[in-house]
Amino acid sequence: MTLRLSASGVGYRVGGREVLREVSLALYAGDFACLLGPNGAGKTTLLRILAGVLAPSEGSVEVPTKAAGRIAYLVQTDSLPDDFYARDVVRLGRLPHRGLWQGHTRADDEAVDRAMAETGTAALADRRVGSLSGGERQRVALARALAQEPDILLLDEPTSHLDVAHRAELFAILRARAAAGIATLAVVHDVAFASHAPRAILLERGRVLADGPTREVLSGPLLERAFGLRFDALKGDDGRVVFVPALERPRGPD
Amino acid sequence: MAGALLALAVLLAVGLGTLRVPPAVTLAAIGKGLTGKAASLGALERIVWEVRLPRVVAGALVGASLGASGAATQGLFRNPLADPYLLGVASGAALGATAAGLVLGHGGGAEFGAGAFGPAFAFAGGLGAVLLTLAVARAGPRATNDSLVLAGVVVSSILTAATAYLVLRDGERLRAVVSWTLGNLALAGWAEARGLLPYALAGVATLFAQGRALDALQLGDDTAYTLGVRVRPTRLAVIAGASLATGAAIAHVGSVGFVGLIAPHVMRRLGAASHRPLIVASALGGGALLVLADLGARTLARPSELPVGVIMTLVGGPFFLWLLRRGRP
Repeated sequence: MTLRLSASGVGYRVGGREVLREVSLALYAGDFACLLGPNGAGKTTLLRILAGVLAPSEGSVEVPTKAAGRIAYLVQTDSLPDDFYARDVVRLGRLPHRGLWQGHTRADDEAVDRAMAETGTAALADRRVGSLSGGERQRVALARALAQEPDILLLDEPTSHLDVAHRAELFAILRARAAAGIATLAVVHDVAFASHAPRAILLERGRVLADGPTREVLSGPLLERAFGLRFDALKGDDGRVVFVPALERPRGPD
Repeated sequence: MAGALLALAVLLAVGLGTLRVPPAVTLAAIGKGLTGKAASLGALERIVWEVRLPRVVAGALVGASLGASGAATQGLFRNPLADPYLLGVASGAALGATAAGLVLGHGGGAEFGAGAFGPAFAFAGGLGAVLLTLAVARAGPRATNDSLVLAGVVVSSILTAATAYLVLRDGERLRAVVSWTLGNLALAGWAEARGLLPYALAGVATLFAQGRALDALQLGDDTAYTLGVRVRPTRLAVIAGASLATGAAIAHVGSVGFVGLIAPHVMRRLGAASHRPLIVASALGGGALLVLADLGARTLARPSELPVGVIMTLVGGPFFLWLLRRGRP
């Protein structure tokens, strides 16, 4: 397995508050992992550090390939320019490949077309971003990240505005890209969808609570510990066990 | 298309006035002037080449500088209202140019400001003001677009007051100074046009060079960084380019508002979105806009003249409000 990215002993402190502590993880080619955890657990901070945007207070992040644009990072807060046409946004994903002065090559156009076809945004290409719905924008933003053709894909809540069908589509896309060798780490809140990814990482108060195969990490006791909520186990026809949150707090002393 | 608009505006502005000049004469005069045959100009052609054209060219250069600067700063701050004027560049440049003109006793072609030190002082003043605005905006818990605009307004007011103080100390030249601060192309000749040209070119070229980086910044600083854009150098280059172009324009003709807001706004509506085409289109459109506004300044209140800044504000203000009310494209 080719190592794409590794973090060792990463800690992050801001204003005396410890956001991340001793976080170590490795992403390999073909990995598809979901990052879960309660609000404020440090998921976004971890993604920013892995993307190289933020320097960790302790520890280090190693990325074997140094070439520009090898990491595609999709931020959580939607910040697409309303005036831009959807295709212009997706084209920005090609920026690291052609620098500031070179023109578009055929490879650039093909990557843009492929990403837009894959995300179902080809029909939106000539629409202004301001006229798109929240879900459409999110798919355009994803198409930008895919058009970058990165080695590593870091996605912060890519499903937040998507309906169920488009969430399913997103997971299919990410699985296909993983099969093609991309290492993907996606922050996802939907436990049921996260169970479709082969690997899950559970973050709680800035520390990795569990990291491994999804069926082990997304288990009742660990989820309860992370979220302080009781989860019911449901078994699907395919044998996959999905945990669905109950509305009460866990029973027993606590 | 914006280029054709500018060409049309130039022909109109040169042709109209106390004396009507047919477009053919204008073109002939431009042809002769550019090929160095100015000596063989006829009487009407002489008016075109020596009086009207230099003023129109100076106006177009000022408009282009303001239009391109507006487009770039709006992109940089992701705020359609963030033109260099709002960030304090104009008041800083005005203070710089006034200081050069009054304190140093400098009198240039357009009364003052336009002398050799005018543009440099205006650039320094403009750059200093925008850096001050940024510093004030950052002093809060978090630099937001709102705090930036507020800081710009405050810095502008303080610097404008300082300019007023300098101006009022020198009663004799008060009228000339006031007329200049209102924005005036009446005294613009070839000397002003030549003086503006390098600054306008350098400023607009600097901004154009940052076009793609500005596009990437629209996705947020974090995303731009992962796309290989060096965020801080980009920011500095845009601020410097906009200060240079705007500062020189103000040093030569005083402060003319709204060009940097209206030109990019209209060009975005007409379809320019990415920053390279937007900056070029805003430069051409801004040039056309100011040339037409100056035509109004020259002809509306004949035989006297209005400062073009007054026309721009009287017409541009309501026009901009109307644009805003029409909402997004």
